[in-house]
Amino acid sequence: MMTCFLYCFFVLFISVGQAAKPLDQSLRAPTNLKVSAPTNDGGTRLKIQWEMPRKWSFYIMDGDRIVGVVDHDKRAFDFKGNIEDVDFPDEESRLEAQKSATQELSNRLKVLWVDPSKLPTIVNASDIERSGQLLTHKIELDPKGKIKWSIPSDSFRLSLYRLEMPAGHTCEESDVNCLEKGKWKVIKSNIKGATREYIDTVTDNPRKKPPEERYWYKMGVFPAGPASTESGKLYEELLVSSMESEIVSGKPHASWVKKASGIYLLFALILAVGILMFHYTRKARSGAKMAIRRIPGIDAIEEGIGRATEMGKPVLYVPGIDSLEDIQTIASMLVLGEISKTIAEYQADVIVSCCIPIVREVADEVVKAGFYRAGHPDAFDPTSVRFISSEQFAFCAGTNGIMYRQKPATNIYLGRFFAESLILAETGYVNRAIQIAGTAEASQLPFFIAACDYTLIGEELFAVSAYLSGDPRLVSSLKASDVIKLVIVALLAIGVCVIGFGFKDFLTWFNYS
Amino acid sequence: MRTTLPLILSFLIGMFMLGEFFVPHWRYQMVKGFILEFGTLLASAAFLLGIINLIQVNLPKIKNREKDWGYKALMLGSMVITIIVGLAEGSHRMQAYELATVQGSPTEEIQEIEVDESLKIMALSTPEGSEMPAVAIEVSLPLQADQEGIKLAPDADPRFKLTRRKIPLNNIDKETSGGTQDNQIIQYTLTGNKSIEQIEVLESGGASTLMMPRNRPSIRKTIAYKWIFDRIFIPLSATMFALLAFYIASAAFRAFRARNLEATILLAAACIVMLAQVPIGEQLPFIGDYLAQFKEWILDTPNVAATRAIYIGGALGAISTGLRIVLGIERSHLGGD
Repeated sequence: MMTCFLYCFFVLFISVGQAAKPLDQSLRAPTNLKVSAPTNDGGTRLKIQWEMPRKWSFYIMDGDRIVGVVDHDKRAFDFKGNIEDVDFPDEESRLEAQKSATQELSNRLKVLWVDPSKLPTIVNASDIERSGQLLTHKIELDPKGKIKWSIPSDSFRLSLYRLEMPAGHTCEESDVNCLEKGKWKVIKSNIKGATREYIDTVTDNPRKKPPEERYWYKMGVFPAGPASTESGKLYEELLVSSMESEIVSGKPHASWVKKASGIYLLFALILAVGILMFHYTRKARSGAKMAIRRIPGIDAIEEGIGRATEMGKPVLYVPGIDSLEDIQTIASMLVLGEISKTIAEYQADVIVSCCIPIVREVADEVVKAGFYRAGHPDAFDPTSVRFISSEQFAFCAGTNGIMYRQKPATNIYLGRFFAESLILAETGYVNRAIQIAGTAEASQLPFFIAACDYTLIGEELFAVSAYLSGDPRLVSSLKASDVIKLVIVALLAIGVCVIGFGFKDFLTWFNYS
Repeated sequence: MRTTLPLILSFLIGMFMLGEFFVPHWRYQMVKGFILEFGTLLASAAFLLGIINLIQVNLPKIKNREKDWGYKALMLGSMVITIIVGLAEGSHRMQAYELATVQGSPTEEIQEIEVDESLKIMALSTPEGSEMPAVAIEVSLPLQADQEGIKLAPDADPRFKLTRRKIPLNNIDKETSGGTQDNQIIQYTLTGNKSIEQIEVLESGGASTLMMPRNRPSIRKTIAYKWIFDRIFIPLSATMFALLAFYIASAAFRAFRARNLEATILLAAACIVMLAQVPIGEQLPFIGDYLAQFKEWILDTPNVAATRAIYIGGALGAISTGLRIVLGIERSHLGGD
């Protein structure tokens, strides 16, 4: 005996028959066209909003029972049908039963279009049957019980036009006659009927002033089909089959300051880190002791350099494969400065393998400066900082080659890594090098943890240079970020409680767009 | 002065770039664009220095017949050949890239299009209401689109031929096909006269999509460069990437040895996730359904929590590192304490 659940819904297309009255398919132009500058904009965009004249509600009926009401712009409803627990002797009888249940449901299910203004205050099924129009279009049921439908009015499309003025001409808002000098251009065609706004970028280059002071717009409505699907169509061609809205205009507005609660929070966060850094730096200068927890991975760096010195082999340093703009690469360069100083003090050799040329140039200077600071500028080998290749796997192959040929005693991978992380770390493991890795790239951390002796996780990478230098001013910055971390943990706890109690607006405080 | 000027520059440019998050004005963006272009110029110039460094490092080793000098000679030789071919065909390649920036879509479904050098056209759909601007195109190819799909235009040159092929979706990355839920997409291939080698148009999600560059490209002249790239570079990169599978196996073997409590938890979690990922996991009696749910929980709850903690910590570390440099507290990169 096989126990199955009989689901009343699965994918099917049913035409709910016997059309009562056909839905009004006549085209009507958009109304209440408005042009405004979007908030927090650089002065290069305009927001165009409109309304469509018709408004209605959809009533979903299971026989004579109203099971749901949705707004005119929705085309789907979550229908919670009955799920019966039935025993079937075999799969065939289950399918048979499912088919008949579906047939039964399809006979009962109806979607009606109703103008809410024509309904009484208290609505019942007979009111809907009397005032509504039965939807004759396809209704789709998915296995999760969601009903989807389309209506004939979905088959219309909108086009948005902008007036292109000849160079040097501008029209004032009141001067409508001036518009004749310009030429209308289709800037967006095939806009879906349910869409109510569009943001137009008025200039190709968002870093330049828009060419005109004021922009004029209008909209057209078309039956969907080949006529409106070809973007290349000229405005004149589209005009033949369209109905058009009124003409409206607007001026782009450039904001100097972004106004969003998330932006204020970000600013406050940066400011707080800065103030705390200054506070702790001042404290450090006055002689206060700045304690920092031991990080075994960073301690191991010096051990690794010592090991390389004893073995007479080089230290291999890989600063990741991202460009210099990335903060992890910058942090890696800072660490390289400290490490190269230590290497120079130990009179060991270093090989820095770089993927990006500009990173190589900076690494070259940093290593040179490290040797200089250690008092051994003559020990610096200009060929020790190498550009391998700017291609990810070519770089990986080249660095692996260095590992196989020169057998470095210690491999240090600090920076941003991607798929090459494990290939590098495993090659180092096979060559029996001590390996220390550090990255804030969460997806690569498991690979480094599996293949390296020590791994610096996330923020630890950014603490290395301060830790190695032991400079109280730098250590103070770690203190500052620790305090902020405490605040964030507190905020997280508060957020969980507040949202748990239903205060969802809490999330909007963090909205930065 | 050796460190003062860089410190002042770091502070000024660092603060200015930080302001980008807070100031949307086009004038500000214009200056930012100028600074970024300056950075791009520097990075491009560094490529030349990178080549010089490659020669400096490898040429002496070839001269001295050091170990594996042959590989180095091969590498330098390949570099020289690629540079020569690239320079010789550069103008044509630039033309092809330029074409890639002047195209658009006739439907609202598809707004972002990428055309690569071989003119395989890839379309990425953008959700309705996106702020991405639509680009109107000038139809210059003998194709037309309607609700039924893409066809040759009635007045098309008879030498053009359009073929249509259905591709099961599991053969294509869902991301690149616009994330459509359909189980197949339709690929159109237009073959034509000498100036058009092959243009492929992808149709997905039931919407007809027709993408084309404004001008007919002449990419035939870039064959040598493309050959080097497609036939040598891509297979070699793929080979390196494929090695990853073996490295994962050996690393996983070591990581999953149950030496202590943490490693044992890791092993157990990995076994559950791996088992639930494969069809046999679902078929296991009694625990099949629970296994899948437990896997989801492991991936969605502890895994995401740990990842977010790393990201939050990393972001704070990044802010403090950035401020240390901008405010001049960190000076080791300038060679001074």
